[in-house]
Amino acid sequence: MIFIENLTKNFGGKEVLKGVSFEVKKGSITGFIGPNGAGKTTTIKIISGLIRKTRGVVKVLGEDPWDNPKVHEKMSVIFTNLVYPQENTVEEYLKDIGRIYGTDITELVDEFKLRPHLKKKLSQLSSGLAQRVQLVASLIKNPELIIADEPTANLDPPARIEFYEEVKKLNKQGVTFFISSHILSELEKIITDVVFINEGKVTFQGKVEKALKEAEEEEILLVVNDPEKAIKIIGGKIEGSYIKVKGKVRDIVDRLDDAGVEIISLRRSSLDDAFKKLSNI
Amino acid sequence: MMRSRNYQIFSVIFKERFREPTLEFIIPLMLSSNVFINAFYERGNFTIYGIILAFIPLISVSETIAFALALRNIIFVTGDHIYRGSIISFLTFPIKRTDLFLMMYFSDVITPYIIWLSTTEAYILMSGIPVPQFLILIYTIGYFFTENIILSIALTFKSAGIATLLSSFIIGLLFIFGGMLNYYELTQGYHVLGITSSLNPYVLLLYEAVNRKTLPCIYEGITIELIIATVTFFFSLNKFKRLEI
Repeated sequence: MIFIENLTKNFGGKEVLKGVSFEVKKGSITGFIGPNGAGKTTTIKIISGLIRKTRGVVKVLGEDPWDNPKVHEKMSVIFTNLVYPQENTVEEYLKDIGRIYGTDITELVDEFKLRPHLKKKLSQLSSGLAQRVQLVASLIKNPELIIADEPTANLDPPARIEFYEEVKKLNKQGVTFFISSHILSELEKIITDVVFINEGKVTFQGKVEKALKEAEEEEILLVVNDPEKAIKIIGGKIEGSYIKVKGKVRDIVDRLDDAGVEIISLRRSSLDDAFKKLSNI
Repeated sequence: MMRSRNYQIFSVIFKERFREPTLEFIIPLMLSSNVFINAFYERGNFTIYGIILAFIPLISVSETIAFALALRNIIFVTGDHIYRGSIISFLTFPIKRTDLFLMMYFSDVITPYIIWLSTTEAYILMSGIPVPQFLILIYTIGYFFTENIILSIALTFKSAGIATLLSSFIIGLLFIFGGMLNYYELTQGYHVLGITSSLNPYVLLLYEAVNRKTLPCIYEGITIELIIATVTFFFSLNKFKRLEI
């Protein structure tokens, strides 16, 4: 769906993307992960045809996305904020898009429970509702690919979960997603593939399991009923209410069980850790 | 029947500029404000002079409204969309950027002109006043000359505030100092009147009306205006085609 090779982008002589290469496969939910300023938005804007590449190859649905209506026929873009003119109502916005693509919006409005909000102006919507509206607008054209740039950055946890539930549902219907984010806790539950980017370079691309495996030593975070006793048995250090320790999960659990320490919560190394490891942060 | 996709995109762009009741308010206002043609019209020697006065922008309310409407569209709709980023929605429509620009240009600039032209011509026809069509041509070229300059400023600076200030300054400078230069040229001898007449041809028109003689250099002036209008139009088109946001 997306093929990028040796992509570079300069802004005023500064190289923001330094030979980025990766691929997004059909049917996947690919997470595009990196810290602020890594080049995520620049890459996404190039893929969306909003800015031009300096060098390299960019193919979206087999075509160069710059000034290419064919790409926009089948690809939707979702941003952190809804970018349509804010004086429009939800109804006007969705009907405008519906008219362009010859789609009746009634079904989508009901499916996404937007009927009570149709008369609200876009400027009056909460962040969660605005993202729901944006998602519906992106579906009107029946896209094969949806690009999302930090779509949950302004959302509270329930709204994030709701957004990602919709993403999962749509992916099952065959829509490919390419989602950038630096908040990984929810994203890592839904993505199938991952691209790590840091300082304008891709540091890893592949399946999520592979990324976690390549991060090697697992870092485990535990909450137990007796932290001091647990530290003596398994080592590690206390961080807030957690004990942070490296090792194999099975082994650590067994040793704490034998010592009679109750485990309240256990979290394995996350994409955050894998990203840090693979990006040398 | 399903209309073409480009037509639907155009209707969205048009609607953004002319939300109800803009047209319902503007069209009758422009039509009735041509009353100044009658007000300045007098039988006898005053005839042509009065008609020219009635067609000078700012005195002519209809011309001023058309100019202000286009200026609002360029700076506070298209310019604002670029400044706030909502132009992204339009750039991700399935349409070539050149077509999108032409649709925006038609809505922003050409539509107010068409409204002005049709209401003015209708008024002239209904009033029976013999208005020289040369006045229509002068305003037409001047209109596109100034609006295209404003459009290129708005697309270059991408800020409503800067575009407003700079446009007011440049257009004001051209019109006021152009008028003064023309006056100086007319009183001191025609050295560069062809060039200065491009800045404010109305001074020459009034001179022609008062002295009852023709100044052929006025054609040089409107040709210069036409060239600048064409250059700034293609400059704006190129800016829009290369717009990165």
